Amino acid sequence: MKLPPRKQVAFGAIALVLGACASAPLFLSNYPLFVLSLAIVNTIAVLGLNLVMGCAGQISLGQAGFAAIGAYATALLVVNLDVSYWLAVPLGASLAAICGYILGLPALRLGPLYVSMVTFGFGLIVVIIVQNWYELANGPNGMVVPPPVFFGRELFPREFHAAIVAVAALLFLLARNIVDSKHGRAFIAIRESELAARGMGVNLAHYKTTAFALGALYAGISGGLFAGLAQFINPDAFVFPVSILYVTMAILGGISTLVGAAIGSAMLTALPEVLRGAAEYKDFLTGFLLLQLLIFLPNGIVGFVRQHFFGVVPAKAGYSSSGRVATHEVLPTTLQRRERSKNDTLLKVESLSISFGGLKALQNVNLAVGSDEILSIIGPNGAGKTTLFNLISGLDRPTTGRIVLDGADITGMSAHSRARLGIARTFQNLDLFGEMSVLDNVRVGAHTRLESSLLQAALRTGAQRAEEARYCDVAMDLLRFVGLEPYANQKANSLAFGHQRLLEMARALASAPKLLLLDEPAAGLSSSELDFLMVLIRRIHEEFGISVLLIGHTMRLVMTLSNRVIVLDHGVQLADGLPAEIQRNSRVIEAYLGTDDA
Amino acid sequence: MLELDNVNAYYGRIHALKNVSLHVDEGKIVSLLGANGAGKTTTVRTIVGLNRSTANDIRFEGRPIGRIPPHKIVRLGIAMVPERRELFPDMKVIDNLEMGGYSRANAAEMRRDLDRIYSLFPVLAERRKNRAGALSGGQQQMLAIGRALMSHPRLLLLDEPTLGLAPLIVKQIFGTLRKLNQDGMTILLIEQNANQALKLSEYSYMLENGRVALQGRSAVLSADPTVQRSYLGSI
Repeated sequence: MKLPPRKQVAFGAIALVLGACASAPLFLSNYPLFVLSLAIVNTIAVLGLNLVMGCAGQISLGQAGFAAIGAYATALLVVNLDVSYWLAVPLGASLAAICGYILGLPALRLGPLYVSMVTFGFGLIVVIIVQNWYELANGPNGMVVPPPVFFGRELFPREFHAAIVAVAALLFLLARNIVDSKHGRAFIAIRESELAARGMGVNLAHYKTTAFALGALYAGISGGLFAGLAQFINPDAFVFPVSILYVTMAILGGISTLVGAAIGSAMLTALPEVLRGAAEYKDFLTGFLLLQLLIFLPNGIVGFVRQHFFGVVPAKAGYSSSGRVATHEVLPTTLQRRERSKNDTLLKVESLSISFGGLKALQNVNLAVGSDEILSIIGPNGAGKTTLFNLISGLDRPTTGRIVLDGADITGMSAHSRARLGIARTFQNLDLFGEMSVLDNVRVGAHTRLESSLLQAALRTGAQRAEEARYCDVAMDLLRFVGLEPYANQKANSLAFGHQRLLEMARALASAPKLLLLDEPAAGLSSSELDFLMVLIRRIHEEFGISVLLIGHTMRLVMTLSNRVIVLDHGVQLADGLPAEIQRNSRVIEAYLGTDDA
Repeated sequence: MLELDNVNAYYGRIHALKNVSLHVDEGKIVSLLGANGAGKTTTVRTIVGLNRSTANDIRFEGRPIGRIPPHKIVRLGIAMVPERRELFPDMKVIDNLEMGGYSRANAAEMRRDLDRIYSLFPVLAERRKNRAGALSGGQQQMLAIGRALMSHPRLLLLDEPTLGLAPLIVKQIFGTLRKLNQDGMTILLIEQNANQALKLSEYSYMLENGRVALQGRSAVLSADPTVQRSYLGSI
């Protein structure tokens, strides 16, 4: 595939910058070169922040603390244990990563505000420790770090520059590979909606701690390189304002873009030097310039450039709104037909009850979904239908009762494990990853089917690339299937409401589920779009062999498609029967349908 | 009462509305129909000033409102019930309603309006101390309508008021709209339930890819077999 012009420009620019950085010792004198090296070292710490904050959406105010761990561990290993500098840096960075992992644990339970306070406190504590650690780290006076030795020769900072450029380029590449993989998409999915991410089988605990560990690893490497570059470290280099400076660099460049890390770091490292002439106004001018940039470029410099020079291409409608439903002859062959389960009953719900506070949301509900069935649940608003979906998909835990999928009790299982077992769902009020592209939303849906590890993704192994490409095709096929192919590269939140529903359906299908839970799939669709939806659901059931459990208020949909209908009212099962029986049931009519035709 | 004269609107580079012209006469119910992505929500957002049209081409009671910010448009007498309700979920029902009357300061008037809304939707009076987010879908929709009415509008814009509601509640909501209209309220209604909307409204516009594709008296449109076939689907 030929690269789109936008990518060509980006690659060209990156190659140019990299070349300039690498060849800088040829034309820069000592001090400007040192500033450039420092900017690149900062870029590495900011790249880590981009992963934690920009991608995974976890606010970290302790990045300088992790850098301190990397720097001090490196220095102590080199000075006291005579470890080679080149080994000490990765060791120090690993220690920082372990601290990051541990620090990520509270993020599993605490809200974002508390997590940011925890990272803030961590950064402070690290500095306080090294300030008071006279025996080893010489307290506030700092430590002298011997110059890194390369094949028996001590490197001058001028020579060390090459190492910094090489490491930074490598780390940039690895970060880009991670972001552009199932793991990177999982990070972003968590940022956009934790609930939906769980529903797609993303293990929140794993990904949040991994994000913190990755961010800390980058900071640790940055700290280690700083020790080798400056050949002197003291606690002042890692105080809280430095953490804030990193955050500012990330935001200025564009928090969710890796290139932004380099731009933000370069600007904010160079700015004090440029303003050196106006010494007494330096802080004021720095603050003023920053404020202006953030006001006028809220998405950072990279965000601004993207928006103004690479705007979204307008899409043509997937099917004509004149009501002729496009028939999608292209069957997603990549989504293979499932073998029907050997059990006749795919899902069994036994005497399920749940209370919220004093409210009994569901009382003693029993139902079974056959392995070849479309079962609908209807009932007034507030009857407990969505609550039932939340219990089945694992977002809520029942007070009493049992849920059995394909013969196995899944009552105590987490949402992401259930997604792996083959339960996929859509959300009544829509829970898309709004800032991600339409295509990437569907790719997150396939999260559980991709098997490459984080390391394979970072190294972009052949198998990993093939797997990504295969599931990208699957995602595209599914978009074609639901008629959203023309919108593939738009942001999900730019779609009209009804199209967002169809996207949720494609995303759910991407996991190749055994059981698809559709929560009001027809809400927000016009009558002709409803016809299209009905064709889709029927094909999902007949051609893909997926059982469907459906919540719906649209009688035409429910009564045409369902094998069986269950009626809920105030948390109690009111009726269970064939569509025709339900339509005649006087209690159902009274509670739900109203007296004349619906 | 409300006139749109060749209105254009853009999202970034996407041309969302292309020369859309429509009229809503005082005391009438007008419905705006069309598929997803046709530009219905954009039209309503442009009227209330949440999107900007490119020229000064929207008039309310003869006065151009294209340059007026949303909070002042509310004071002119236009209220919107947004798609998906957009309530303040952590505020009480009564506080949501009072937020609807935010642009007016008269406490006595406010109480009178509250009483009027409670008589329209008695269930809101019962649950006035509850969190809005704890209401059922139907009650939330009633609250969204009630909140819009608190600004004392002469023109009410509704964006899919029956979205996700059970058939019985849909009937109630349509009944309420009819009643409001009989009391003199002018209504512009966006609705996916095209048959119901055609039954309720006097005049209808069909949008297609950001253009008005068809317009006419609702009774005429709903009787037209081609309209039935191409816009309303098989019923």
